[in-house]
Amino acid sequence: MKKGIILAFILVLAASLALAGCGGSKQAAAPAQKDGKIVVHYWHSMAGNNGELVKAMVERYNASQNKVQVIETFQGGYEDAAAKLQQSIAAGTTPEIAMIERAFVERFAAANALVDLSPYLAKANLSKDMFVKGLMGYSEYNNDGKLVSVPFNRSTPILYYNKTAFKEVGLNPDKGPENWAQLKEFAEKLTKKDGAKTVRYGLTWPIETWYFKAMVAQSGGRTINEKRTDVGFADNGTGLAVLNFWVDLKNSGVFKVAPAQDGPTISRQAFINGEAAMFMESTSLMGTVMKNTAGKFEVGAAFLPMNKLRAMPTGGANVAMMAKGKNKDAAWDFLKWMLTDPQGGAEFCLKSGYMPFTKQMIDSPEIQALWKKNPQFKVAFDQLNYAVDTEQHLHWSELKAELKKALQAVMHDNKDPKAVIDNLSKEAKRILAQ
Amino acid sequence: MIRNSKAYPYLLIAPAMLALFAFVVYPMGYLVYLSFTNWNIINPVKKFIGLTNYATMFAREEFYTVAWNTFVYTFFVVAVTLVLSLLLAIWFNKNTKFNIFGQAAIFTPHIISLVSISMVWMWIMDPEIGLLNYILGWLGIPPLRWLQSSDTAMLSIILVSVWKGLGYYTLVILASLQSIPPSIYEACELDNASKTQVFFKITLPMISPQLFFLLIVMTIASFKVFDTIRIMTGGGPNNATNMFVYYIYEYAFVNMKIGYASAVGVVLLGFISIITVIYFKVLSKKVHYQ
Repeated sequence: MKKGIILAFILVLAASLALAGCGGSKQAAAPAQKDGKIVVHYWHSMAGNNGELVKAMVERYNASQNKVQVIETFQGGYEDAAAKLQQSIAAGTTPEIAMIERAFVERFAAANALVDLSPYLAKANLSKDMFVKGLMGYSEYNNDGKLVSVPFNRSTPILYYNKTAFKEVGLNPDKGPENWAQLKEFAEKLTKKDGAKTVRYGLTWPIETWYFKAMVAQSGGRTINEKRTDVGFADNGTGLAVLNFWVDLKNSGVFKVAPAQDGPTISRQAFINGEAAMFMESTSLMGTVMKNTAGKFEVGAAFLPMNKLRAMPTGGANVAMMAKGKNKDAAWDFLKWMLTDPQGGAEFCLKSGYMPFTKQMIDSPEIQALWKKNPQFKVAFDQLNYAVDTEQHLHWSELKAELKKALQAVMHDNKDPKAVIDNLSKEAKRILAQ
Repeated sequence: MIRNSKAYPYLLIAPAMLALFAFVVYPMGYLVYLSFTNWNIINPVKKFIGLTNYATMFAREEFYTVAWNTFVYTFFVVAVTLVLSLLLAIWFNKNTKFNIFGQAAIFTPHIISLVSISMVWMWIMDPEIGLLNYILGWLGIPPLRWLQSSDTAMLSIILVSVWKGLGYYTLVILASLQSIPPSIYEACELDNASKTQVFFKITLPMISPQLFFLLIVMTIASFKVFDTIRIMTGGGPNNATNMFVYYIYEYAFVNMKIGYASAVGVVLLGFISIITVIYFKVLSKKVHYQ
């Protein structure tokens, strides 16, 4: 009798384990076909306003034909999404198409995880010349002619400014600051105090590596040096110059220091609420900023101010086809549609503020009309002539984490910039030599 | 007949052993193996690089910061929670209506997801619009920057962890307080023992097994703190709240250095084992089992 109970218990346990197992495998295997359509998975990192736009784009594609069903999934920010993609490769559950932040492309390409897209382009009578040249810095790997990813949602940092506040303090609302000295001067004018409390800061940007990289480039330095052995801003003093400028802005009380966690959200909110009159951020926020400031104040957009020269990095992500994805032909059909159809990537760029990435998009009447109506949207594109990207390296994400901590040490912990840069350079040598 | 065979007991524990082997022993061995490689998850080749990961780890200042943070956090969380929950348990020991309400109230944080709690506390600790600074303002204390400054970030994380754990530990201690036979207290009363004497000679020894258990469980749990860090500070500012498990996560899943992360994992395993052994060797002698 007792044995019977134990046996029954073991059986139930085994059955439930087996069922759980089925549940897991079912989820991974089932969506290969849905309503007779081939299913293609598309992983991306777009949330909020831009996430809605990706969703709408995929719905337009699904409605436009009846062979392929694309399922879009938000996989977290760029870093989380890259981590999940990496795990999915180990687990054998990769999507067909993935959005990969441009600087992570190299990591996947080095592990042969990405499909060479050039044969697909050739078959469709397209070539890589269709893309805007300034955005192709991350598309080829090792210069072996393979096209491992193509630009999709690409951006550069621009300077947003509050035109209404500019008018209020007697600045020309049609012109942003030309150089760093003017940036500080404007910021001082725009800062408004109520007793000891600052009610409006002149300036803000998140304490992130992107803005540091931009300003190093403007001072003539590089993120990683040409020999790829060290950071490219330690020996030549450009990094120190940038940090000293940041500290100077902070100490003059004109710069709102956003916290380390959620910095981008908080500085963006500060600009939208009118608590900061100028703000450096990605052009991809143009749609969000315009929508949220409508009726409150007028927004202007300008090139980043120059120091020795005019320069800025690009940002955003590329899309790639995964080598382990199942339905490659169907995936290509979707990818081709995104690249060429006016309802595809073109519409997404038009609404979001990301830069048009093919020549066809730039010549399209829609983009031309938008630029005429809202010249702010064109600023980022014009700025592309000055784009420099100098951080391509397999171990960039590790170095980036170190750089970010260094910036926090200076801006949040008041550490000595010189010592911080020296230590960073030491770490960089170790990381890049791996 | 099968019941009499020598294999029978082994057969019975086999399922448990199998699970233990599959989910504890094997992963642990694999962790040690990975710590000698430079694997990055996607590369099919796991190159053996010997002790390089350990050498790098011990040569970096960051590792010592992380270790120090973990010890500071663990010490304060365990000490403060244990003392406070003991005091609260003694207070709640009498069954009045208010105390029943108090028990429920203090237990509530335990059933809420740590992620939600972290979000709420982030808002409470906001330097500009947060409730905490508002209260400080009332008391005439200058506002703190809480999570945003390296000086107070650790304090803030400890505060949230203590607040979250307090109710659960209070209830465990309360249960053990109520399991002390009343006859012992009656005997004390007859002997005219003072309240302090009763507490230190009777109450504390009688609940010491539970306290000892809590001490070990809390220490291990504090060593493994992750959710609050991930949500509230991201290990920052400038590593001020970076602790072992978050550090491992950062290296394994952000920087994709599985080898290095595994090496840190092995060290963490070592630390926890050492502390547990010390607890058993030193403290267990003071524990009174009925």
